[in-house]
Amino acid sequence: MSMTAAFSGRYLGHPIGDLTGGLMAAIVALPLCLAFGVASGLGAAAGLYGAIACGIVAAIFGGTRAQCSGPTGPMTVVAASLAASFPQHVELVFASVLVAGLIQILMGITKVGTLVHYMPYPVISGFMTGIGAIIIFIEIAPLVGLPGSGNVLEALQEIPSLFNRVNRAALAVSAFSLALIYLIPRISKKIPATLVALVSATALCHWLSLDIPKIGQIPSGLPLPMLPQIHVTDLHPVIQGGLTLAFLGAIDSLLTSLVLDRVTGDKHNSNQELIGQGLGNIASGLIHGLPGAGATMRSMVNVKSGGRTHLSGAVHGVLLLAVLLGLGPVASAIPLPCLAAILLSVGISIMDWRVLRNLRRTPKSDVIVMLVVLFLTMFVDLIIAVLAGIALASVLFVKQLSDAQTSTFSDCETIEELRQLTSHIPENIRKSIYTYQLNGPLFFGEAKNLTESVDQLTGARYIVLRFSNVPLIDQTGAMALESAIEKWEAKRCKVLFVGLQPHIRKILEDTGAIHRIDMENCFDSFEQALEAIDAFEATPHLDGTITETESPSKE
Amino acid sequence: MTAPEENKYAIAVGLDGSDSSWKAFEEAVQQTELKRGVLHVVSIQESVDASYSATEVLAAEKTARERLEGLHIRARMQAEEAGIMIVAAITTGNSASALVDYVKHKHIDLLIVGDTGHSSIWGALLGTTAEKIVRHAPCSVLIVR
Repeated sequence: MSMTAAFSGRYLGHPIGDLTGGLMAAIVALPLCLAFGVASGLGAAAGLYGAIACGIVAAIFGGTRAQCSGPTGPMTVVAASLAASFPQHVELVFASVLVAGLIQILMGITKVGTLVHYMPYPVISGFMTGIGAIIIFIEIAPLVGLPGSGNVLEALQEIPSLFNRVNRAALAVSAFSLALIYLIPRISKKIPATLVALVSATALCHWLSLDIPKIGQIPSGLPLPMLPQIHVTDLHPVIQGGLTLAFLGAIDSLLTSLVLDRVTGDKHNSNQELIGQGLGNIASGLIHGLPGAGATMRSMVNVKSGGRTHLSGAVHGVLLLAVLLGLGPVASAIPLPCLAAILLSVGISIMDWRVLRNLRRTPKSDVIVMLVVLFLTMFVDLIIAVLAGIALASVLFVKQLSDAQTSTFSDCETIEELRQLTSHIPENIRKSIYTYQLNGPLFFGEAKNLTESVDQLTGARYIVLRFSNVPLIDQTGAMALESAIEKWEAKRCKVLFVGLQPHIRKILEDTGAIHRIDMENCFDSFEQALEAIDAFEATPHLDGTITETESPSKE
Repeated sequence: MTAPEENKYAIAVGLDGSDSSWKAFEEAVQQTELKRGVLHVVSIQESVDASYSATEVLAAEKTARERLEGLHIRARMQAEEAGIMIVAAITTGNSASALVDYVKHKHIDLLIVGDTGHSSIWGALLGTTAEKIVRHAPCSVLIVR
């Protein structure tokens, strides 16, 4: 019975919403996948195959509700650079996709998936900005109607020579497409701007019979799955490519999972998600599709249009398959400059403008990490960029740690002081309040003590965690704290924080632990926390989905 | 403070940081004093725009939440000056329906909102947030102009 209940919860809970969500996601996905396919150098069809395989398989087996998977910016950039490095043998790219899928499944089974959440923010920010910049540079030539390159260095070298060769009609079509992509959302955000741009640009080119590069024929139907034929000597580059894809796909997907958690209020399962993504990439590699990952835009559109369960993601994939079966003759007329315009907007959007605009106000160490990762992503290698970024961030973290050892807070108090503070609280409530004083950096060891003490408490209704002597917290500490809070809340016990320093709060937020900490449960002093408990006791107890606390009234 | 507050007159005010919402808040504080009731300050965090970048969405969400938390700090200070107790809540969703849901869920007696006017042509056709609330709220509604 529980099996059936779990099954219907995963797939059948919201059939109508899942259908509309999947439909809207597919509408957003279609132009993107064609564009990613062309940009990768593997052909528009490969983009669609990837979206179908990953879309259906990753949704069915994944660990995030309403996730829509398919080719994304980062995955396409890697696939393009792989395709550029094996020009005579594209089979190797698909072998890499297959290997990537196997590695992701392994990551999921060994539960290293959750570690991706501990990726420092400046690393992700630098990486995404680098990917955005690469997409912009490699799309410049296609925008003016010239063949593009999958390699950013080649694309940059070609830029000066482009001016004499500009195809004016192509430039007009891309300008027209860009105008639609950016203007339509100003009228209504519900209109799928990229699809409108794609259809209008295609119609325009057809009627005016403009002489600009087009997609060309797309074979109708899916290719039969088959294992790529590779030679033993090719194993090394294939595995290297697979590792890059697996790793970046994991980051890309789990970031989207995090977004979906915020939007739906659900909690995803990272390791299950990686297994789903891995299976999706294996399927995609077998039918010669682009590698895929959880896609933020498509997934959010899905949720906003009603999608809630795993079914919605699968619906999105199945609809794309239906499109593929009927697309052939129409697709051949789609102009490439329009697809380049779509990708240009994607590239611009995934750059982290927030950080770029606020470089001066961002901590110096974060800026250094971000810029190093950005540079390495664009000009050296994506994996090296991420690894170097993590290493650099860790070194800077240790330095911060040694700088921050001295705490400015002192928390000595006499019993008399405590008695005065608590004397106005009725005895039965007083007995249900526990306090826990944390000292020094909250690393794994200290957090373990905290977790153990959780199990021993009985009859506690309030726990006051005193953080004023905690100068730093690491990821494991934050995770242990989160699980301790979860346990307490399961026992209907309210957790209050005293003296939580802003940078500690930021770390808790970044790791997701802050989900459980409301700003209003944080206090500057022990006394204020007690007042809040007092006030809370005086008001009716409210449950659940809405977070709240009471402020004490002035006497 | 030990008396159960369940019988107390519950007033809710929608606060989004606009001038009209602050006007509504001031009115709500006065009403709460008058009725010796409890004031719920409710802010709605509307869902952020879809984007190609996950980090962009996460950052936008955080900024939106921090803005609302800032409003609550200011509201709390003003309420404390007047000597009244507030319950501050952030809920998510479409502003009109989220406010109505809150009112139903918390058994609010009086809902106070500012008059926001029409934000666009669509707004004129569909009605303002205040108009929607009047149509659907189960309690008395006071629109502050």
